[in-house]
Amino acid sequence: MTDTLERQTERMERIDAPGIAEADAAPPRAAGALTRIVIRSVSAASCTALFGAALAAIALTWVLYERVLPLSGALGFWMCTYLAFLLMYAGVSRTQVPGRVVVDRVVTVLVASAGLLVLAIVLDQIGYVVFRGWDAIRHENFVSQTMSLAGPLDPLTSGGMLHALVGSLEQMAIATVVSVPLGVFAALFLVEVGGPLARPVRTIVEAMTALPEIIAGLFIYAFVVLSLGIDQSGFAAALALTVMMIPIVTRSAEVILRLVPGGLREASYALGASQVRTVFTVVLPTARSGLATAVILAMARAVGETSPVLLTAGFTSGMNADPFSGPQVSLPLYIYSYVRFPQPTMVARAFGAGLALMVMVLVLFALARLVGGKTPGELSKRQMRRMQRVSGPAVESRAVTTDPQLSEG
Amino acid sequence: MMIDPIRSKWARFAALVATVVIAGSATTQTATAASYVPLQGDGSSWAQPAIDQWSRDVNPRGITVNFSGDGSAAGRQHYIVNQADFAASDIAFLTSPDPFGAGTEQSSYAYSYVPIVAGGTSFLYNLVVGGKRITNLRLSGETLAKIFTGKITDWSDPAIAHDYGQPLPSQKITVITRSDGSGASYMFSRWMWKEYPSLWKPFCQAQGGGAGCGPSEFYPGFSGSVQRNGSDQVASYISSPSFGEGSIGYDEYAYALNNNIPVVKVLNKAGYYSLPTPSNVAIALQRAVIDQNPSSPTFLMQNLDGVYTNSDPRTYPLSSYSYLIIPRDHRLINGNNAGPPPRFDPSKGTTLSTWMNYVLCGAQQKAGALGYSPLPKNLVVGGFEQVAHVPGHVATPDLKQLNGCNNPTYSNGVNHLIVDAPQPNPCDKLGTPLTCGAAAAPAAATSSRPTSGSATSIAPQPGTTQATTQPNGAPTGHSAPAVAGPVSPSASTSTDPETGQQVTAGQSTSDGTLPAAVPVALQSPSGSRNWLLPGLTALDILAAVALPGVVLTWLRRRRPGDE
Repeated sequence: MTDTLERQTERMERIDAPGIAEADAAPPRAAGALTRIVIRSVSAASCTALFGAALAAIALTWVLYERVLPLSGALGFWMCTYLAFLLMYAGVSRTQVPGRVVVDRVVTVLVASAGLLVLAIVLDQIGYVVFRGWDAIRHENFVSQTMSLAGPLDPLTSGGMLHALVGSLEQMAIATVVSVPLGVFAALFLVEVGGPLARPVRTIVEAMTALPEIIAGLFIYAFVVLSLGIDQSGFAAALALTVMMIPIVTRSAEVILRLVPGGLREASYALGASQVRTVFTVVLPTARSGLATAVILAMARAVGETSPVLLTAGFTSGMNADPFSGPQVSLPLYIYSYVRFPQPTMVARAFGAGLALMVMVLVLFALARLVGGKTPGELSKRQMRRMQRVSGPAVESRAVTTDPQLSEG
Repeated sequence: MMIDPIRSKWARFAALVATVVIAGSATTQTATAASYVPLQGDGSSWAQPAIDQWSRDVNPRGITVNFSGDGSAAGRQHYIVNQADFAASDIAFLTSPDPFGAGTEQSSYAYSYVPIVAGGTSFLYNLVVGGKRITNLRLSGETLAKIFTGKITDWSDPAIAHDYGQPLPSQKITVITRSDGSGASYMFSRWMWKEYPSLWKPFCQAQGGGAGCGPSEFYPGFSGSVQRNGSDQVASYISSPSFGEGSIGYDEYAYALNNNIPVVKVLNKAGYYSLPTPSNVAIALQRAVIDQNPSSPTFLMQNLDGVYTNSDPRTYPLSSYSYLIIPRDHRLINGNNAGPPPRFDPSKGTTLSTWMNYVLCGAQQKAGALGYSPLPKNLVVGGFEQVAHVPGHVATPDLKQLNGCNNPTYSNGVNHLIVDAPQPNPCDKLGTPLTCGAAAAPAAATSSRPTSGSATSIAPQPGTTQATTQPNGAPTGHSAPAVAGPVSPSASTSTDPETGQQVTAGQSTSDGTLPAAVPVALQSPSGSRNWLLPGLTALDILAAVALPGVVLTWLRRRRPGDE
């Protein structure tokens, strides 16, 4: 869009012919030579403007900020550079193109740099954790040992995070087993049953999404640990995670269930199926991939939570595979505890565990993408076989052929 | 359920046999002390590295100690509600309300306080003068108290110049305090409350601490102070090369050691500026008193008044220690004869006291390496007297000679502390100029950092030569003239806060005078005038850059026929 507009205006303004010729010929090479700020315009003139403005901004800011004015600090430097870059780019563009295009260019740069900034922050975070955590995680013992035989004075060649890994997996599994049925049924209530109670339930679920995590931990600590007398354990921690997961599962499951085409339900009712049967044989199977995504995202959220488990899990440096008795440590808690140690080796262990946690979340997200790539109603082969089984042999061939149409309706 | 009489008889017999066997094995087990039960405790995050290390040390013997470092207050609370077998706390149960925190705490289960780790409240700072980092700052207690109560707000204050021995350039003091409740805040404010009540009381009351205004776990924020959550964040704020400049804060010595942050030498009652080294703290704590009056509300609590005023020249005045709150057989609480917490049984007592026997003796060898100080004999004995009241305890070492107790400060009747703790450097005496010792110091230069307990513990290991005559007063193994770059403390590996007495001068020959002297006049306090000339220059440059473009555009617009 922009480059056509730009080229048109350039032609209209009859700016010297070589510029146009270059613009038509050069694009791939020019795009490769650019800094990371690649915008849609690809003419040599606009590339030069962009690149030159950036270079000039850095140089000018360096002279003014570092040399002339009594200022210092990296953050201030880059903010001033950016500001100078915008002004210069606008100014230089103004000599090339009319005002409308200048505004377009500047806004394009603003939007693109916002996106790049976010990307850079994410990359920086990942890179920093990898950089700091590599020291610990490159030792094989870090994933195969616990901390029961490693103290703050021991080198990174002993001790690890196996117990935290086991704890995280177990707590996440328990939390998922408890929260998924509750969350999905709540969503079914909101979508399929409704009634006067649906509104307050939805409001409460929405409010719970914004619940500070530590409150979930406090609630479980006060209710389960102190009142019911269940000791701090992996189970108590999993319950606290459940409190966090239920609203997430409910919210996303509700959205997914709403996406199930009404025609499917109506068809089911028209065939004489009851509401329960419709829900279990039509609505839920149709929304299965979306629901799986919702569950996995909730799991990814829960596995990284520190505050709910802070009060409820206790802490141990040894392996405790039994979530029902004794303290059980999870990865976030392991990180939280050890990163505050004065000893550098312990901080390295915390970052190593952070890296492991990040990989775990990444795997969960990849799973979610894999499972959730399909639209509601789009069935895998296995799901189709299952549907045939449920629907009975009579509709065997028809189920396959009519399915895409159904999903469209 | 129907049971065949014969089978039930057999079953009864089998059960009998089993009981006998189990009872027999149980007795043999207790005799050899091989059956330990896992212990669960929580509390002080400050003591956590030590407790973790010490529980790891006894793990091969079958003792499991699960410890969660969620804070002293949480630890005490968990003990009160029967959620922990023991609690680690930097302070005792609150017998009087905290001016900025909670009310009093009262455990309904019997408890004792056992000293476990000692340490000095250290003052970390970040001062860069003329591109050189200052690492030899020394201050008197009164100046410190004034800085932390907002009475002194600039590094050029004459009181600082008087203590340091040289004026510092004008720079705003950023005071870093803890935002969360912490033992360090309590220990520091207790010291001010006791030693400088005329500074602490008005400050505390002005911050809304009420009329009583005792020591507080929650240090009040004031204008010019920055509050940070946790020791690690205090340390990382101070060590930051950008915003940490000009800051000072109190923290644990371990964070200074591991992050190479310089520590203030504090003036003691003997007139020497001293660092919170393991030996200096242990020396100071020999004057710590444990309240032995069972009817007193402060029964078994520490009294550090004597520590603050200890007249040994090696004393670090702000020394304190952290407690372990452990169950006790019985104790008079509010007129009731209370017992130990219900979750605690004698088998746990056996485990706990076995562990305590290690903690109070051999474990103290590692205190120095972990950034703490070993407990002196008086506190070890005081601790063992309480361990002897744990239900189901095992025998403790004999308390007269501490035979078999591998404590670094005292063993087999010899007080290594008194004998071996290095005497202070004469250059650290009150009134000596900063240039003192320039010739003597470089002689001790060894660029190694303490890596083992022997480097920082006081007891001389057989074969280790402990240079007690070393002029700078630091134990062997510490580098002497630190050369710290202006950019980052971690970049220079030869830096060690131990060598706070040495200066960061580029060359080891010059000592102390170089950094402070040069830029005093350059950075004049009137900031507005500093801006005038650079501002004008900047405007000039901007104009020179922008004008051609503007003129060009203007000319082009004016060019006829272009529109």
